[in-house]
Amino acid sequence: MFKLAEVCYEYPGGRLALDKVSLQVAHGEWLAVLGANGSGKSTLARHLNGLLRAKSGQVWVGGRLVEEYSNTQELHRLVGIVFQNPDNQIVGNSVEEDVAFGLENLGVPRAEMRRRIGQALELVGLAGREKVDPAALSGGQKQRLAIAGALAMQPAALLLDEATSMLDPVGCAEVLQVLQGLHAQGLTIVMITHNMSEVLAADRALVMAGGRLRLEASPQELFTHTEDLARWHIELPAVTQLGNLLGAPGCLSLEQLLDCLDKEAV
Amino acid sequence: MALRLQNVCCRYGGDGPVQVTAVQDINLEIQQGELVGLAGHTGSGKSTLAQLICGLIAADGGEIWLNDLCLTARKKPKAALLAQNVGMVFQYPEHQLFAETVERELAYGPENLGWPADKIKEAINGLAARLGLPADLLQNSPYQLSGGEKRKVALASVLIMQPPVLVLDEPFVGLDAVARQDFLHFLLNWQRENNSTIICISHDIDLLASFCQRLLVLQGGRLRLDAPAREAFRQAELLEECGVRLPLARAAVLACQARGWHISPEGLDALTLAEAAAAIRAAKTSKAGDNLGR
Repeated sequence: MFKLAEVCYEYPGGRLALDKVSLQVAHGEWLAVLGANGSGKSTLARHLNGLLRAKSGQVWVGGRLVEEYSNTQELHRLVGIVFQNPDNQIVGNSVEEDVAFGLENLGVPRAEMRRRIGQALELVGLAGREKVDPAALSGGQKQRLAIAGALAMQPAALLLDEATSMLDPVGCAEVLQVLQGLHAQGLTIVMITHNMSEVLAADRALVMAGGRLRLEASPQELFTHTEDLARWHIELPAVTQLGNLLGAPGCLSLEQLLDCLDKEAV
Repeated sequence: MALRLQNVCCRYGGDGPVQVTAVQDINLEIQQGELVGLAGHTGSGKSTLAQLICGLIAADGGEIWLNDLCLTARKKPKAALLAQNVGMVFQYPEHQLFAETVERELAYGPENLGWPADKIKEAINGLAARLGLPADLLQNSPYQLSGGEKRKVALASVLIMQPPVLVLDEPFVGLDAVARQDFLHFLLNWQRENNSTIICISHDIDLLASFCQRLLVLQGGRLRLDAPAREAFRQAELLEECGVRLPLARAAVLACQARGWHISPEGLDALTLAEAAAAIRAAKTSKAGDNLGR
């Protein structure tokens, strides 16, 4: 789905945000991107849907170089993005108006628009809420609405830039459940997060520091790199930290930790 | 006393057809120097309560006293007076940044209070250094900063007024592990030095458990729980009902107990990972001893 070769990006003022980043993300893969503040995570995500263009190196999306796309709209349709604060991306006066916004801009025929709105709201569990004012939704519901807006464009991939960071545990679980359903249907997901428990849902995790890719691993393997992660300001999940204190490293759930401790105590 | 709320109610929707009661019948007293965590499900009224305390929105009923100021009096306190008594850092720091440069942003409050220029400069440089904001960054636009830097600037713009009461709405969101710990250490040092009252709204219950002395939990606009932190986290059922999970430390010791481990009564009160590890280690030793003696 995505391929980056030696990509560099420098912000005005000279800060190098991406430094020779090479990466491939397969169709249908769920990739979690971790890193400290300023490590280049969001800059990387913005290269995947054409919001930023590499100063050097090459970016392929859906098998084509980004320069080959006739306009950025075509790229945005292919790769949806959901940001941290849903309020910044919700524009409609009702749930259905909001999902319709992108489709109207593309000139999608009305009947097709209705079909896609219905389908997107169904996928995120907001069917039946079409006439509701988005302001009356909870944080989790708003973020699911933002996802529906992106899904109505029928993207092949979805980028999430700390999309659950403002949500309470219930809202996080709602969004994660929706993502798991979409992933099962083959959607490619690239998720930037500071929430270590979310990383466990991904197929692969990568760690960025200083604009470079430092580590690629399965979520299970990732948290065994304790020293490296500490160096890159990445916190282990709380349960893994507790396991380390108790001499039971690598545990990713409380159940797993207790089983491990039970065995040791016998 | 720093803060007193008596039968406070707030509704959204004015005289319109749809009215939503955001908080109702809140009775609360908070002493100067207290570290208070405010938790609750999204939409439970946390941010509304925070804004009422800061005088940013008006209550529809009840009284709010901030030291000697009555925020609900017919004649509202002047904004400058309010800003010297309470400061709020919003969930999205960009919502409170507006000046052309970081320096102008930090100078805005003190200039409105008529501070002399040299005092303002000294205060800005001192705060920037303490928060780890490089001097050259003071001439940048706040909008060019990273999320973590924006959060620091928003906090500095409030702290420069040295308000005795500080309200922080999700202050740790978007910060990496080290930045979060640095930010927390800074806040706790500030609180100690100035005997500030801090009211911190957060969904990160592990973090709240690590430093708050007292926990308030809202549900449907009502104050469902107000207790010292350790006591509050003993009320697992009530917390669950309010959509607030237990800190992992406490959940872990309870899970061990449910599996038949002998966790000491003090151990069951664990709120930090270190406390939980110590309690589980002691239980493990005792269990191993039991097994040997069998």
